[in-house]
Amino acid sequence: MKLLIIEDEHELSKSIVTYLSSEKYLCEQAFTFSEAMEKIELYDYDCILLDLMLPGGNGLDILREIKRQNNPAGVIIVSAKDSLEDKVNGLRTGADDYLPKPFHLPELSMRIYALIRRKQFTSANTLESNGIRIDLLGQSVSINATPVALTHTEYELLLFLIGNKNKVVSKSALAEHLSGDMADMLDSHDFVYAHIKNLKAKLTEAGCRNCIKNVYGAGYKWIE
Amino acid sequence: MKSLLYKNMMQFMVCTFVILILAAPVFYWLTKSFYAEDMIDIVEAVQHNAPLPELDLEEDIMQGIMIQYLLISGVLGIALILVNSMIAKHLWKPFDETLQQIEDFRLENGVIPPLSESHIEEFTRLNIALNRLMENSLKSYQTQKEFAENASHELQTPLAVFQSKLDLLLQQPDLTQQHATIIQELYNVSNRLSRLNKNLLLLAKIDNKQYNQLTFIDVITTLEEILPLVENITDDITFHKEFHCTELKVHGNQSLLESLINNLIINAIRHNIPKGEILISITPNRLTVSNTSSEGALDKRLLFNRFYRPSEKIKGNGLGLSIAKAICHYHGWDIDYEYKEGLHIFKVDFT
Repeated sequence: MKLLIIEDEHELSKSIVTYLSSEKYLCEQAFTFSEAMEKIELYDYDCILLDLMLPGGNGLDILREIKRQNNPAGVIIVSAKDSLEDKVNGLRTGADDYLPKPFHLPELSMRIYALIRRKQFTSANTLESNGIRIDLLGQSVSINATPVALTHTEYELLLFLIGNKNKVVSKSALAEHLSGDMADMLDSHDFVYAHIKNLKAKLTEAGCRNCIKNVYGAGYKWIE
Repeated sequence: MKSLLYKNMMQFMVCTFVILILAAPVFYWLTKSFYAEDMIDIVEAVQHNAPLPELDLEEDIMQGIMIQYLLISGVLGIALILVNSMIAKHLWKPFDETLQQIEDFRLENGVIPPLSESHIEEFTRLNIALNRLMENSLKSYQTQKEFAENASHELQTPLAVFQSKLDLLLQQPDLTQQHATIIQELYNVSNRLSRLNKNLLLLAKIDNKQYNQLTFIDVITTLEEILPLVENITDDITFHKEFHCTELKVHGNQSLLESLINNLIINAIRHNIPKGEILISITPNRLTVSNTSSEGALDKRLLFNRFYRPSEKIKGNGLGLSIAKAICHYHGWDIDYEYKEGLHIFKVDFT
């Protein structure tokens, strides 16, 4: 999978590359408008992360160019602007997703994962890990052909953890993924613990033990 | 262009002159019938060879002086009154107009009133100075508003860098319990920072009137969307719903209405007690959110102020309710607080 990261903040770009490189993604970086334009002319990418405010130009113009070329790459806008109008504007111009800054790297990784999966029509709509089978269309989970009844929140949690497998996902990333702005407004993310506990219990009962590792109370990791 | 003093003097002199001319017949008649009467008698007596009449020169001189005094002060007085009333009406008219226009001037409207032109130097100078003053205030007001918004925007990227580095730090293979604890604390700080920044940005954008897309939204639908999310993140608080109508349509901005409801509910959760209760009720044109709490009645006047915290316990960033207030103010809705029977009650009237 080839990714292009168009982001003028070097440190952020570096973090994204470090996090994603270990997930079988091949990352390239562009730091300015012209650099980005040059790269999308020359190479093909599966997914492009696009910052809107760039030195030398507006990210939306790059997006228009991508669409004009009929470039099949999926585009995720990563922007400091988070108002509804900015989002609508970005999606209307042809972006596939919009992620406002600041974001958690696991969240970004999850969005890229979902986008690439959507773009590949050949890929099956099931996901397997540690004997767990997830039907993404029916949103159902089964272990060894036995269905496991999960609540919507638990399902989302499981998907998020598997989407970031072998990585530690922080409690605050989980909280934000589960309830967006709401979690953002609360001071404690203890509710994540309660949901993880329930999920763990259900998985253990169905025969999948020790898949979720608690990392010193700071985060959780899906071990495959 | 003439100065105010020059105009004033000119008008006074012209006025005095005109009155003096107009008063000439009166002068003539008075002189003739009072203090020049003896002279006329003498002249008549000489012409008719009659004996000289009895004369009272002393008295005539005194009378003459008095009449002259009275007349001159009368003329000057009338001139003064006339000129002054004219000044008040005419000469100061541009000043009055300017005064009226700057009385109506509001910084928030962003419009500088056109000040009328004047032929008087001082007023022209005044208008120029006032124009400059208003332009400058308007400019700094605008800059200040934009600054708050830009600063918040600019902060998002360093915050994103900070958060991403924490996410990476958590991936270190040789992570220890101590490291994890410190990272968790940093996460908390980072969350607080980004929440504070988001809230400041929201306030700045409301101040800048950037939420101008208004539609008819149903409060109940919005509530039903938000509540499952909320119930997800609070396990020991019971929510009671009391909807006295099937829908409550209001005219407003979707994002702001969501933010208003979010803030009221989060506030009710944050200041609640363990195993507490939250009552959300909807009556025609009114949304009420009440919660149980260990705290007593709060000061209604300070409650909605930015960064107001009634207790020393650090909960929230002190912006939630001021955002709720700003959103209500923006739409012309009323928000009120009441403490009754151990419940903190927040009411929003959509009128």
